[in-house]
This record gives sequence, structure tokens and C-alpha cells, in this order.
Amino acid sequence: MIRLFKVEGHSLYPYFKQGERMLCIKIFKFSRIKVGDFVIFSKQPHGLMIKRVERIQQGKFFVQGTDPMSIDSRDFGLIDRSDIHYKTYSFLKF
Amino acid sequence: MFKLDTVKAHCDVPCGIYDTNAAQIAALSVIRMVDLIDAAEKGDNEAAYLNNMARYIAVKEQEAIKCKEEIRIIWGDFIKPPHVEAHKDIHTITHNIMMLAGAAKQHTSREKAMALLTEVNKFAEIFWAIKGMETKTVKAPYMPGEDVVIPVL
Repeated sequence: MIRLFKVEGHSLYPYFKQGERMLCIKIFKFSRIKVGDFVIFSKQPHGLMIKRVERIQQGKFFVQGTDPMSIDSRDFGLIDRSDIHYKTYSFLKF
Repeated sequence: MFKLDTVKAHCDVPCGIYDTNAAQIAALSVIRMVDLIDAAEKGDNEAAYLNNMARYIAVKEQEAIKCKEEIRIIWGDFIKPPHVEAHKDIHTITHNIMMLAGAAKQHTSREKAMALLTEVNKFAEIFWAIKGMETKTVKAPYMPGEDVVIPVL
């Protein structure tokens, strides 16, 4: 399933800029998530976020923005695969 | 099916810089002051002795307060409910630090000062685990040369 999202914020500049739209591919049990993928995941209290997978540690994902002030795994730690709903690529934006 | 929704790529406007290093240095300083107090000799010059002792005690007092302050900021501003859920002893460790830093001000016990450092190191271990970073224990490369938990960078 494909879903359209709009980016809010600057933490993935220059890959994704504020207001850009991109197509996202739903993550299924068999989907592969690798380092460098942009993933859309749920994280309270922030809600639905997009970050890049920086490394994978014991089945969990360390996600990070490109901006040094990005709110990401440097603040809230590793995220579970079950929290990741979609993935996307920078060429899928428009 | 297509549906437009927003995803957050937000940044933190406040500094977002937290580190347990300052609290560890403060705890090490308390130990160092206790060692200096224990080693001080009165000798013939009482004024010099009193001057040194007053300085050691004042620094011990300041560093114990600093240790509490640094931990209090991380605990109050950085630690969030999901972190507490994952690290259920964080509140107990923080409270222990508050009490041991108070004890460090009241006493000149090396045992109590070491207990303060131990609890601060436990706090550091949890803090870096939350950050998704591995830690290692190393000897501080300066007096009193006790163990400190640091992130593997």
C-alpha cells in the first residue's frame, strides 16, 4: 500500500525539505529495512516522524536526522520495528 | 488509496545538550577533597593548615551541590515516562544521589563519597543506554583515578 505524506520540519534537509510531499511504501512483516532508508514511525509524544536509519542494533533501529538539533534516537534511543509504518526514498518526493 | 498526512522532521530549538560527565567530575572532586582533608597535616603553620582545610571543605561543598544540580537537570528535563518505564530504578538512583551528595557535604567519609560516584555512574549507564550508546568503565586519568562510566564514541 502506498501513502502520500507531507514533510513538516527541517531535520532531514537536504533530502527532504519543509512542505515537500513524498510517496511512502507500507512496511509489512517481510519488508526489508536497511541502513540509509527513510522511515516513518510513531514516537510519543512527537507523533508520526520521519528520520533516516543510521544503524541497526539487535533488531532495533537507531534513527537520526541530518540536522545536529534533530529530535531523534540521540534523544529517545532505539525504536522498535513494530513502530515503523512506512519507508521512503528521496527520489519519491515531489 | 492516497491520503495526505504530515510527518514530523522536527528539530529541538533548546540546546538539547545533556551529558553526565559534569556530575561525574563533581563526584570525583568530592572524593579528591576528602582525600586531601585526610592527608592534611597541621605542622607548625596553623594558619596555612586552616586556610587549606577551609578551601578543601568549601570545594567539597560546591562540588557536591554541583553534582546534585547536574543530575537534577537531566532527571527533570531529559528523562521522560517511557525512559522510566524501561529503567525502573532511575528514580531510586537519582534519590540516592541526592542523599549521598548531602552526606558528602556533612561528612568526610571516603566510603560515602565513593558511594556517590557509584550511583552517578549507574545514572550515566542508564542515560547513555537511553541515548542508544554503549558504555565502558575507565579509570579517570587524574586524581583520585576512580572508575567512571563513559560512552563508547
